[in-house]
Amino acid sequence: MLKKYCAVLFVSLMAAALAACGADKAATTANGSSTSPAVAQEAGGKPAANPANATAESRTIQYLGKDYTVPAVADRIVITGSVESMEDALVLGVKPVGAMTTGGKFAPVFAEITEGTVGIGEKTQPDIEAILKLKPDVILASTKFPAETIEKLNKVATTIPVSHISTDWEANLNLLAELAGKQDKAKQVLQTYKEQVQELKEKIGPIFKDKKVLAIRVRAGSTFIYPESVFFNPSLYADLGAEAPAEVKQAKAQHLISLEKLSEMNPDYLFVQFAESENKDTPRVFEELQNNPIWKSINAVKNGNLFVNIVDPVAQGGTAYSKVAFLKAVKDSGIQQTK
Amino acid sequence: MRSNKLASALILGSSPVLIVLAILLSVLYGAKEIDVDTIRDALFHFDPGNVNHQIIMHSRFPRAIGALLIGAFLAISGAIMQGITRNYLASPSIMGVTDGSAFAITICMVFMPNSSSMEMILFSFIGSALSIFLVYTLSTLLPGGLSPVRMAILGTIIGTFLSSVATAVATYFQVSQSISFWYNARLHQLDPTLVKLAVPFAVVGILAAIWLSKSISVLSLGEEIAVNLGQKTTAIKFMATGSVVILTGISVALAGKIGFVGLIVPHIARFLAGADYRWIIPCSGVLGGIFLALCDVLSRFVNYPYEMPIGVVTSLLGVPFFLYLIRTRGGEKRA
Repeated sequence: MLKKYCAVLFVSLMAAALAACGADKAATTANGSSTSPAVAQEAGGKPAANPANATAESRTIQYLGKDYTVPAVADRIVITGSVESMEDALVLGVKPVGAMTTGGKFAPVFAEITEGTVGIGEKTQPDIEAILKLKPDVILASTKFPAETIEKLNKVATTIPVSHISTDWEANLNLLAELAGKQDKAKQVLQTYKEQVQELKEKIGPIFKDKKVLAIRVRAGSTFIYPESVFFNPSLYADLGAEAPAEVKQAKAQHLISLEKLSEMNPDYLFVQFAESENKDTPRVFEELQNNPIWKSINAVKNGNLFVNIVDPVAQGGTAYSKVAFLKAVKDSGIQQTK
Repeated sequence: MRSNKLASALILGSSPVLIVLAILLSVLYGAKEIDVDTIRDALFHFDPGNVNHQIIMHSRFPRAIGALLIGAFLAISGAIMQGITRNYLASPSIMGVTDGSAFAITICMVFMPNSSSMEMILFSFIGSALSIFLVYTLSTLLPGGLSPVRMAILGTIIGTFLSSVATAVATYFQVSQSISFWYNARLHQLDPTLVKLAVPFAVVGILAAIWLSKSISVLSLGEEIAVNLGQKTTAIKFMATGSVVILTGISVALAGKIGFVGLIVPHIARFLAGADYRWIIPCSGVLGGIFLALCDVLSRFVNYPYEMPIGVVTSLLGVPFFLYLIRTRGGEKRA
C-alpha cells in the first residue's frame, strides 16, 4: 500500500516538474501574444503596403559581393542570430521591430534600441512564426546560420546573412545604415574611429612595439585564444599595430590553451574578456584563476598590464560598437602612461 | 571460474613501474619545454618565484596524478557496473550519473553564475547522486525493478530525461558552449587542491570496490546462483552502486565526461585477467589510470599548441584497440 502511495507521489512530482517547464514556455508565448494585437493592428494598418512596396518601390543593396532586393523604405527590420547587427543598430540608433533574445530577455547593453522590440526567439533559434507576424521588410540573419534556416527566413522576407568575421565590420555597418537610411551617421562613425585609431596608434605604437599583446576569453575557467581576424584581435593587431603572437597567427578557430602555454607565451599586455553569459557580476572563477601562481607569474599580471572586461562581454569584438568601445577603453586604460 | 592469475600478477606487479613511467612522461612533456634538471630542482628545492617550478608543482604533477586517479576511478566503476548488471555494455554512464551531473551544472551555471569552481564540483556531485537516487527509487517502486536489465533501462530513461531538460535549459539561456567546455576539457585545470579533494573519495571508493570484488564475482554468475549461494544480493548491489556513485561522481566533477575508459578498460582487464572480479577490479584500476595518463599526454600534442579535449583522444585510441580485441579474441564466449 505504502509503495503505491510512494509511486503516486513520485509520479505526481515528476509531472509537477514537467509542468513547471511547460509553464515557463506558456508564459513566454503569452508574453508574445500580449504584444501581438498591437502588431496585428499595425500590420493591419498597411496590409497591402508591404507587397506593394516590394513590387513598386524596391531597390537593390550590395553586400559582400551579393545583391539583395529590399523595399525602398525598410523600416521594419528584424535581427536574428547576428549580435553584430544588434551592435550596429546600437551605434546607428536603429530600433529593430524584432530581435533575438538571450534567455528570453534582451541584453541590458541593448536597452536603448530594444524598447518596444518584440523578442523573436533565441540567438540560434529564430521563431519563424513570430517573425512572420511582424511582417518585416528585411531580416538580418547571421552567416553562422545553416543554409536551410536562411532559406526559410527568405520565404518571410529578404534575408541578408550578416558576416560574423571581424574584418567585415565596415560592410556590416554600412549595410544597416543603407537599409535604415542612416548613411551619414555611419560615415561619421567610421570617420571618427579612423581618426581616433590614428591618434591612439601613434601614442601606443611605441609602447606595444616588441611587446607581446594578447586578448583571451575566459570560459568555464579555461582560457581561449582566437585567430587574428576574430574577436578583438583586429583592433589590437591591425588597428593599433601590435605584433600578433605566433599562436594567434596559427589559430584557425577558437582554441583552448592551457595556463602552462599561456605562461610560456608570457604576454606583456593581456586583455581578458569573460564569456557572454557567465560571471558577469562577480567573477569568482576568475578570482580563482588570479590566485593561481602560474597566472601570477605572467608578465602582464606582474606588471599591472592586465585588463579585464574593459568592454561589455556581450560585445563581439568585430563591430563598430565593439571597436569604438574597445578603443575608448584602451585609451582610458592608462596604457599610454606606462612606459 | 576461469581466471588468469599469471597475467593479473604481471599487470599488478609491473604497475608501480608503469605508473612512475606515466607520471614521468606526463611531467616531462607539456606545452612548455622544461628540462629534467629543473624538474628535479622543483621537486627538491622548490622555489615559489620560479615559473617553471610552479608549472611543475602546480600544473603538471596534479594533472598527472589526477589523470591516473580519474582513469582508475572510471575503469573500476565500469568493471563494477558490468559485474553487477551482467551487461558487458554497461558503463558508469548507464546509471545516469553523468547526466545528473550535467543537469546540476547547467542549473548552476544559469541560475547561480556566481559559483566558484569548488561549488560547481559539489553541485556536479549532488547531481550525480540525485540521478542514482531517482533510479533506485523507481527501481524499488516498480515490480522487478531491481533486476539488472530493468535498472539499466531506468537509468537510461532518467539519464535521457535529465540530459534533455539540461540541454533545453542550456540552449535557452545560451550557456551550451560553456557547458560543453566544462565537460570536455577540464583535466588541464586540475590543481593540487582538487587532487587532494579526490584522495578521500579514492580511498573509500577503491577499498569498497576491492572489498566487494568477491561478491561481485558471485553476482556476475547471475542473480539466482548468487541467491542460492547465500548472498544478500540487494545489499551487495546497493553497496556496489554506492562505490560507483562515489568514484564516477568525483571523476565527472573533477574532469568532466571522459568516454570509453569506463567501458573499454574493464573489457581489456577481463581479457587479460579472466572472469574473477578480485583480479578484474584492481587490474582495471591500474590499466585505466595508466591509459588515461598517457591519453592526457597525447592530448597536449594532437593539436599543439592548443589543448585537445581528452575524450577525443581516449576514443581515438580506445575504439581501434577494442575492435582489435574483438577480432582476435572474439571467438571466445565472452561478449
